[in-house]
Amino acid sequence: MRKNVLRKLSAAFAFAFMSTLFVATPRVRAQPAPYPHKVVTLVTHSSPGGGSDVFLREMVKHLGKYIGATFIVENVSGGSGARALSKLATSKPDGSIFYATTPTYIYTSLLSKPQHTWRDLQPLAILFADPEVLYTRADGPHKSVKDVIEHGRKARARFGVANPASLERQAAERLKSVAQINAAVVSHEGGGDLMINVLNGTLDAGVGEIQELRTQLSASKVRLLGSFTDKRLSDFPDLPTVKEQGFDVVVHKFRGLAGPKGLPADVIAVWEKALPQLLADPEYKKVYGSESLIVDFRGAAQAGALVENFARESEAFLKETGVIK
Amino acid sequence: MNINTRRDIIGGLALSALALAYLWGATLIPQSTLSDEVGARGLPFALGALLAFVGAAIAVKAWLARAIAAPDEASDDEASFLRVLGLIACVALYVLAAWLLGYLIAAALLLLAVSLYEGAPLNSRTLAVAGAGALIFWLVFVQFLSVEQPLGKLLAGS
Amino acid sequence: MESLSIIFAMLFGTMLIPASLIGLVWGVIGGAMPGLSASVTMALVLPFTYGMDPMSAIVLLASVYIGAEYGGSIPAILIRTPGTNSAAATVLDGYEMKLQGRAGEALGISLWSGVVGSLFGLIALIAFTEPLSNLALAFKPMSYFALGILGLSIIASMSGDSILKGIAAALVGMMIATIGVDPLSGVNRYTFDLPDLLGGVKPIMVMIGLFAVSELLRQSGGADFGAQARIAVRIVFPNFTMMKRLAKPQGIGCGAGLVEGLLPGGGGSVAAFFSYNEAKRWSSNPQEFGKGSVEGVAAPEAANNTVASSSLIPLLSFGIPGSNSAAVLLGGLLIHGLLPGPRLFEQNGDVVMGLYVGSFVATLAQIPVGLLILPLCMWMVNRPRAYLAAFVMLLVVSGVYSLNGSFLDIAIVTGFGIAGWLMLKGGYPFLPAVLGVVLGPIVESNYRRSLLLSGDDHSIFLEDPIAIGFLVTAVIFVAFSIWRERKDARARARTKEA
Repeated sequence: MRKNVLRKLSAAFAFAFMSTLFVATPRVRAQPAPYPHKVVTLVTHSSPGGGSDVFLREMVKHLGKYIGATFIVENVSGGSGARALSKLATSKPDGSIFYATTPTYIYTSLLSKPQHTWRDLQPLAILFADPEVLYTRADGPHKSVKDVIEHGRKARARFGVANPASLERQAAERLKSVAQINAAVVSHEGGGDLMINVLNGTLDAGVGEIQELRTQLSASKVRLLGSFTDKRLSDFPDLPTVKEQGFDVVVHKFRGLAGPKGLPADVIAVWEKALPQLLADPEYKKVYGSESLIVDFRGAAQAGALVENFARESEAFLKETGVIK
Repeated sequence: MNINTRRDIIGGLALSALALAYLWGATLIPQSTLSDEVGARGLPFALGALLAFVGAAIAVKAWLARAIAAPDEASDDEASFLRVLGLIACVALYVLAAWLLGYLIAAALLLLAVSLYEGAPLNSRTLAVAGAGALIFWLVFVQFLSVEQPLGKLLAGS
Repeated sequence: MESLSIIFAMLFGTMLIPASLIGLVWGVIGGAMPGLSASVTMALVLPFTYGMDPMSAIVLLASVYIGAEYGGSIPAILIRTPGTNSAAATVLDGYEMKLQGRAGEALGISLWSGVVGSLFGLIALIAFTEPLSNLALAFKPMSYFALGILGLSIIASMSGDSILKGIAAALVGMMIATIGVDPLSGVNRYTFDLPDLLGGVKPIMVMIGLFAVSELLRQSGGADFGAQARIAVRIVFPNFTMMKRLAKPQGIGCGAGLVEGLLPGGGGSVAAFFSYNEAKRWSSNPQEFGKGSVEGVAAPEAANNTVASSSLIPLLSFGIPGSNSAAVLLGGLLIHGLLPGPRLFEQNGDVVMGLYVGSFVATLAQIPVGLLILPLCMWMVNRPRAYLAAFVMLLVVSGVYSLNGSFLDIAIVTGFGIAGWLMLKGGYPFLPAVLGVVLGPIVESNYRRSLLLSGDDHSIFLEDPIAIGFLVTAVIFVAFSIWRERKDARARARTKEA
């Protein structure tokens, strides 16, 4: 008797899930470009709900309008991206599988010696730059990058970053050496930990992505001091760059796509045509605009050069500081 | 020498040996200028040194107390160690099977192997339990929870 | 009156009840699978929520969290396999009770304590979000370091016969925790160039290996193929006398869970162990702990269920998740365009209200869902021993593989199983090893962080009142344990002479 009830219950639950699934499938109306594969897998190393995962899932909602294929997001977490790298490197370079790139895949390639590295992948495009900023607590004493540096000349400045060997760390260390101050750069176990130490005044300033600060910004809990970008951010026109304030530190956190090495030219061509259209899509614009992502489109050749350059700089930084040999 | 004394002396020395190996590993940790005052090697050195000392202390304490230690109990350590190895072999078999043939078949093999190893008779009931059990696990993990499980090199083709 | 009608409209006019029930069941199942932590169980369901309306999605996720924290205790009690990190403390007395044929009682107690814990956490979440989130802000690296030391001081009272062996086990646990990327400098430690080791060895792997696999190894080879556990299939829900007795350990668990939920980086396991130890210290029957104490099941279960709600406090008030699972919930909020923080309460008050009401539904629904699922679980563990061993082994390898999709993890867990079996033979306690794995990284990274902040000046620890409080308490704990041990030893010697 009881087992019957259970079976019925589980059937009901399964049905409820299925129905939500169907509701979730977006409908496509525009005329998309023909593509050699029906199903394209987009791999991310972040787990569901993580940065790259949300990024891909939002992109996929609109991508179907421009490329005639069904897109599936697959989370291959573990090994800080090493497993995703291996999956990509051992897949066929036919355009049926891509990987959402961020600087993480370069860092993991450099820090551990994984079986497959960023060199086994071919960048397809860069879509966005995630601006990195220096920030402090809103009720704190520092109003500009200069304030923090001045403080650092008198006392021991305390900078915070989320992870030990990361682009944020690189930005903080470079700022420290450009300004020639004695400062502590304290890494944390993720962004939440760091935010608490900025908010309670343990740290003078933290380095992070605008995206991670949205909650605190909207609640006016943190103050931005400067952006580590070339130009001012369009969302924050009053925020001077760190470079403007006299400290030449610019870092480039990219977001893009890469495939296995040896992608066919026709596949690349479809994407290079479709991606700028996607970026101009008003609905998608609304999504990424609210996340302060800067459009920074580069096609396959330029993306390759950018990644190459980024890897060279990062490797030099990690070697200089003795993190890797 | 009684069994508990011998056990503690061997155990203590093994811990000290482990500590020395760990300390040797600590010397291989790269030193970075990004590091703090304590450094990445600080805790490993402290832990290794402490464990080497504690391990030796356990061994010495057992040796000093050897006269008053409780008398031997009957023990069949070696026989059961072989048994343990057998069970580990079942896991190894599972890993090999999962890697080659995928989750469903490997799960059935593991259920069958462990059941038999633990004394179940080789009859239709045991076979049915292994088969049905594997199917249920596959349904729950792969289908219902959609958790990643091995696909199998031979069957998946990639 | 108006708010009551809003609640009614929510209950019967929206998908709130189905969402919380589905979430709860999914959570209990996922939590009961070793390896699928509460956060992974939530992450698995996250893609399904993309197409839902925001309120149902958030309610579903929060209910999964509640269910998973409860579900972890089921295999902990029945097959000595903690389903989640925070259920590891439940193993200690829960499995002991099962061996004594009292599984039904243990499951009833863990269910009741889970309900009490969730309810307490939920009330704290609704009523005291603001003051409690300020408490979370007061924790600095120095405080975390002291908290870790306080946790480690438990080892003094949990080492069984030999304190030396307890210390050795704790040191080995801390050594295991040094594997992976160094939290401060980013260099690799003991990774042997294996990418799978970069993220370190997860505590749940140590727990599954030490508790579950070693038990399989220990039981192996009995000629009793047909032997069945023969535990009563009936769930014994605590009666009023029992509830009164459980109130004290549950209170301790709720308090510990509340604090840990506020702090990022925890996840309930520290609170579970801490409350277990404190429940023992303050119990009128401390000698029962480790031998099937009902209080030893109640305290950790109340603690980890409290965390499921209290970790939402810093999340809702300033977008800082108090646990990995709360981080998944944050992902769910962001995907629906909801930014947590004070403005969430103003702009999306309905979602917050729905979250409260849905969590309440899920909390109460734990009882019927538990009573429905538990007899099935008990039927399963009542099968012949050989089959049960085979299924537990398959459950372990499946769960462990799902952590990272890595065969190496299966090998590591099996290795911990052999190590646990050797520890059993050698008379080494497991608990200090587990505490070492969980607390080692907290102690190390925050010690180094504090010194980095101060420029190598230890006086920074004396500037933080929270740190001083914890450190003094730790010293008192250790002194008290040593004093009690001496007293017990003298008492034993006297009875021997007599």
